[in-house]
Amino acid sequence: MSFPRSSPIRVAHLLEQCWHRVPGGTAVAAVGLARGLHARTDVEVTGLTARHRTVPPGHLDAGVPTVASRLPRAVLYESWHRLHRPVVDRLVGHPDLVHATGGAVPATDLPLVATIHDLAWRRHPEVATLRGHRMFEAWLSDARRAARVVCPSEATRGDLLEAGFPEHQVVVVPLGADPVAADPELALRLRASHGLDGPVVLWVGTVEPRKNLPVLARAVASLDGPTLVVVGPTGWREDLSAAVAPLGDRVVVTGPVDEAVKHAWFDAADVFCFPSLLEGFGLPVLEAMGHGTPVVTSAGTATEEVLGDAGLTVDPADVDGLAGAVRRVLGDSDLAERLGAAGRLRAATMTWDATAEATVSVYREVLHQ
Amino acid sequence: MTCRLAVNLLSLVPGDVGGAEEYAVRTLTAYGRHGPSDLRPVVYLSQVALDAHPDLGAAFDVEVHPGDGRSRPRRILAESTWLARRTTGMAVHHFGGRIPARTSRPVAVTVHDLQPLDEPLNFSLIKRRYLEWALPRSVRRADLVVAVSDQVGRRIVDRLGTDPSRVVVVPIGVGAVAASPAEPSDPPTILYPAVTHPHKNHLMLVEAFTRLADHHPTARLVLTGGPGTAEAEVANAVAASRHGDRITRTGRIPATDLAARLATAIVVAFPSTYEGFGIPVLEAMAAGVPVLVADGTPATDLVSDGGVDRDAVLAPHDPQVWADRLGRVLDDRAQRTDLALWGLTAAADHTWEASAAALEQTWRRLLAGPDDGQPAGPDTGPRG
Repeated sequence: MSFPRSSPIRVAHLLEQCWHRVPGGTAVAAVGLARGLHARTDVEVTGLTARHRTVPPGHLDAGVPTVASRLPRAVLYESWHRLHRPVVDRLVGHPDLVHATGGAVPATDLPLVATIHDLAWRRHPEVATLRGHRMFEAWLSDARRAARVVCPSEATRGDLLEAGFPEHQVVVVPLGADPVAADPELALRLRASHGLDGPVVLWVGTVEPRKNLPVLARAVASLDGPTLVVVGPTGWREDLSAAVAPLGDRVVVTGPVDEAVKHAWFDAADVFCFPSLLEGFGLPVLEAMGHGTPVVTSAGTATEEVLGDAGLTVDPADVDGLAGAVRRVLGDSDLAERLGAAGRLRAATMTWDATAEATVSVYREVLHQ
Repeated sequence: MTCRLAVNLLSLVPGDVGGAEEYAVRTLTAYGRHGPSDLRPVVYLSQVALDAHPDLGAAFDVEVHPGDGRSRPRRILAESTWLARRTTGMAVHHFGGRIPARTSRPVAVTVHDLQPLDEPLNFSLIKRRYLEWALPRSVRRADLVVAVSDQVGRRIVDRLGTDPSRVVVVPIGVGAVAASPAEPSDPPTILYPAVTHPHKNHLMLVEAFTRLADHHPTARLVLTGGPGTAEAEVANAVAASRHGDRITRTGRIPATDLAARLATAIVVAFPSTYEGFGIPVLEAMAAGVPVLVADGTPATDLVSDGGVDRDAVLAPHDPQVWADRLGRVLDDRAQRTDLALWGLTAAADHTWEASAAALEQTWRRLLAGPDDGQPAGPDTGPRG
């Protein structure tokens, strides 16, 4: 619990991720945290962005007062890294600390907290462009300046220690998900409009190589009957149509959808299957759990931690193993029921409020409070 | 109630006063856009100035003097007669660096630089004598002295012994800064936009370029800006250079042409040894073009702020230093990127909103009258 204080901790959050072309989980995480903190009385959050003519979509509006630099993102990111300027302290009103919430690290002379979600580009060099590599490495090296580096999982913590971050610098703060009420009517309409009367295997996320969609498609194709539904925007360098070709007409690719539709797909699905090669956390897994949808996901990466005992884990490289796990869930309604209920229970504890609470502890540590 | 504040722009002669004209028009236009509606001065200017800058007429109440302002004695006379009559009882801000013999009070004066005192050789004898007398006298008589940059403000205090509390700074701003460092075109072009006055130091740059060009067979130097008192010497130096065929002297070019040349330059060399503010330096920075400047001008503050030495401030009179540094900038993309990013971030600090706010503060102080109870100095003009 938090203690009442006379003056709240004032923190500036970089929220520029919300304007990235494909914002992905890092933007959702930044917004979830900012909202969680904004709801508290012991923290005041100011958002910081580059210059923009547009606002981000509603679900990426953190609802906190936000100041914009006059500089565009490319210039800010480059010069923060190369020149350690412009120092943002005055722009954001000289807060107590600055939090780089996952991505670029602003130049500041104030105490700094930096979030790193994953080091996927180091583990799987093929999953990022050369430019991506350069950028991620730049952010990682800038994060070494931080008093604390926050990561969402033990998996990422291990990668950070391997990358030379000292143990005392790295703190695990799991991400959250807001509970979303089921909308069975919309779920039924979605199934009907796509002519789905058999079992549905759902995947949700940003389509990119590390999500391992070709293996998922082959696994589902090897099963008799289920349809694969792929929900989410395309990130980069993934030929989705080639990946799902083995499925013939047993695939639905929705592209980007709004939040309500995304959540209804969780209700419409029989199993959520998320076999990523590497995740820093794997927010869609937590979202599926919140809807009581049984989950099959990867062993050996953060999704395993998120899932706990609320689903099945498999080696993401093993097509047959993955197909077997999906078949087990689809063929055993008791198992599916049990996993769904366990997921719901576990998801109820993993909220943005809990993320905010743990993050405030990190802030207090940094500020020696 | 009508506003009791007058702005004297009679000294604004379109195309004649360079940086001072740009400064006046831009800060006032910014005020028109960002300043409060309850504090709007009446602007006094000539018909030709209004024709050249119709935005001023849209933003402010104006009173137009029929003369064209080109005859300096007639203009000075008009300030003490036509203007003084119309502004009786008003606070007046004289933008032209000088307070007329007769003026209403309280009074503010904008000072661009102390060049007549610091570099008298750039002026004809008569103009120099006049300015040597008028400038310190104006500063003495002003309730508020408005400097165009911190550095000019400091020089006013140092050189003329002005009480720092009477000196305010109204800096210039820039519009949008570029989205990324500029992409130079081929062949690599060094740009210097400046009128060919002696203190602009063209001769040094031509010599530096000549030495650089020995090792850079494709490099070009482009000199824009109108002819000044050193035009003939500059032309001779270009003709005498063994790489004169790679030096282009364009003369004065329209703003859009200059912007286009700026956007494709590999570096702006700005060896001027005397500037009030150095608007072109700020513009180059906002365009994402690396800038090298001479030590000792306000541009130094722009380029080196933050106290980190990026080797962008050079000894003004050493062509070898400039040749070497320009050579490194031409050869090293990473250095160019750093200089360009540096410039973009510094330019972003100079907002028009800040300019307008500084002007508003100045005017509110002026209208409130002297705050220390002491007269600013002897005045021969009528009291309002």
